[in-house]
Amino acid sequence: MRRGVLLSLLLHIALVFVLWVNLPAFLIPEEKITYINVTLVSSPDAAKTTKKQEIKPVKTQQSNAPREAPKPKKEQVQTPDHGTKVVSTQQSSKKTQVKKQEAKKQQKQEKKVSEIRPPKLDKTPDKKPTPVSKKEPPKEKTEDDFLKALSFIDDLKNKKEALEEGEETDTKIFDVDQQDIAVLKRHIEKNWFRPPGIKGLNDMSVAVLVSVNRDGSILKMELTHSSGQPFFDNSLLRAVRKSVPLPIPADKYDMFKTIELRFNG
Amino acid sequence: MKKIILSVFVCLVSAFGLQNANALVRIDLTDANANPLPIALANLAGTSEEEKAMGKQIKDLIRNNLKNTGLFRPIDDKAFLQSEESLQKQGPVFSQWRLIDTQAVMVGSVEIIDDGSADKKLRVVYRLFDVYSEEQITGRVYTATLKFWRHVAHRISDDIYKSLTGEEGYFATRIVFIAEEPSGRGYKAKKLCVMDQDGGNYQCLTNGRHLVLTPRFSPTAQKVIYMSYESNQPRLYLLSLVSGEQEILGDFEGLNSSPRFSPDGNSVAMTLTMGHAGNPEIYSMDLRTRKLRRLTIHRGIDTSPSFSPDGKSIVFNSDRAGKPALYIMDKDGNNVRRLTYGDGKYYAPVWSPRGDLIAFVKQLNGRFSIGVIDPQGEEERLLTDSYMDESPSWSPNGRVIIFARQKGDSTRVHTIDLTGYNERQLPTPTDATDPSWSPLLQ
Repeated sequence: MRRGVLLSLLLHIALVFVLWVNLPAFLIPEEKITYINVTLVSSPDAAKTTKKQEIKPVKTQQSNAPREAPKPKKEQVQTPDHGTKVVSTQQSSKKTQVKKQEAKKQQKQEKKVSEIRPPKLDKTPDKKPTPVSKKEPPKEKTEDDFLKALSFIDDLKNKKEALEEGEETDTKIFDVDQQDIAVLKRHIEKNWFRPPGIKGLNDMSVAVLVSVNRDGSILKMELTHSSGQPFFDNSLLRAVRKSVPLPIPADKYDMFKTIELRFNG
Repeated sequence: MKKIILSVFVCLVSAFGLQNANALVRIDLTDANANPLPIALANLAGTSEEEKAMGKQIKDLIRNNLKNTGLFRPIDDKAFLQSEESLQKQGPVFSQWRLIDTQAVMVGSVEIIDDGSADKKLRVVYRLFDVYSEEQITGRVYTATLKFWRHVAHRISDDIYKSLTGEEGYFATRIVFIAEEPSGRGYKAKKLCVMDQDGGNYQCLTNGRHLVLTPRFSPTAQKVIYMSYESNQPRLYLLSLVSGEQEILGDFEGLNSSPRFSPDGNSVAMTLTMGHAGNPEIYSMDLRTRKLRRLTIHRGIDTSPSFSPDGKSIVFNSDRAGKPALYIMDKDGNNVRRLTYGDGKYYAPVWSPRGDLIAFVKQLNGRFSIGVIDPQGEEERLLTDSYMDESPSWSPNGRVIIFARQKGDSTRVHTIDLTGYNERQLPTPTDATDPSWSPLLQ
């Protein structure tokens, strides 16, 4: 009973979460999928291109044997085409899960073998340790799987980042993104001369879409939402132009290729 | 079971990953650089020495105007990389102006035309460029008689101010005030005087033999209404600055005081004590028909009326609740509601031409401050703090407040930005009180 309830509860939560998170991305055909693939897959693509450019300097500076080893894995990952990649990641993760589970089974068998001895001494203490040992390992396993699934992504990113930075968890990467955004925000705000005490500032809103070149210069800038006050719009456009080169981390160019700057008073 | 949990988990993770992948980098800007905006003003070019000198004079006046607002930081000419000759020949080279960190650059020329008539003509062309977009922000040609060069410079200042701040300027304006001079008979002679907002073109309109008080500029015309004892009784006079004509606005028994024009300039609100045993009440008078209408009926003191910019409401001062506080009523006297509830006493309310604030004098703990409050009475801010600050009046764009400050036995006129920054003393040859700001001159 409990299992059934737990299972259905889990599935329900999963369903709600998936809906909330916009899973229909799977159902919606090309646009979103291609979009998705760009970001997920672009990192290996970027890695490819950067590799071609960077391999030489990297080799001259440092040559690390362990880093070269993961390359075959990447190639396996890269071989599937854009459309199928999402699936492939899942498959591969499933594979890894299967492998892990097999490994777990082996471990369990070993444990069972090792556990055969204590029950002979006492039954009561045995019961307690066994459930604990059962409960704890699955948690570790899920975390392992989680990390492995992520390490998959990490591998892609690490490849892209070449040899500069070692191991990073996904959460760290997220933090860095926030930091990058904060740096960019501060940089532009510093250059934005906006007269103080404007009447109705709290009702003003502006949005600018900026396409950025790799060197931080502006490829294209478009006022997507005007405040209705030319002086105010222009002050922001001036601020963006004055902010060139925009402080965009070179290794995350794809992420910062287009930036939307908004002000909502 | 575990497999299911795992696969669900993986699904969630991947879905979450996709969600993140979809995100566009979006930056919500909040703060901005609050420092004054750097601006470069090049000398206006001319061919003759006279024109060059005039070009420099005009530029210096514009520079002074913009600097005094506290919103601009004119860059020193010595920092300019592009020479004046190069500017004239090929226009601004923006890359060089960007290097000195300016946001905009003004260039232009001056021509003095001597067509044989009594007065020489002045022709000024200027352009203001955005240094980053490399586009012209604004630009105009002004032609005037040479002796009005100050006015031309003020108009250009207004153009630049408006194009960069979005608000009307206040440079081509005048200020009327009461000048106090030692009369040699033991008291200070009070004269009605007027000058440009930067202190230029100072002149006095009365001779100082009679006490004059509370001059107020009409918001639409070059007219001033003020209180004078010329007839040995406190009466209100309407003076036209163009023709110099003066007339008494009704001759009512008792005190006639604290006049204030309506925003359309067609009526005046004032305080009269006639007919109710010296109790000041607020009246409004239609200037065309001279018809009087009583607005307040209360045994307390009601005084210092000031219209809202839409002309529908009047803020005034009353002690009906025990101590002087500010109240708002409709223009016909109905719907009176109290505006201020804070400690201390409130006097001399003036509604901003922008409509968003009401300036007042607040007396608290023996000190007088100029403060502002929004018409809903929600947010009160004190801008100044001194032993004696009084008589606030707004610039026509509702950005700056001018007021009189007494220090020792000397009273001078000061201005302050509504943000509470950039307090300055205006240059007046003598002591000055009761300032009132004119509308923008055309």
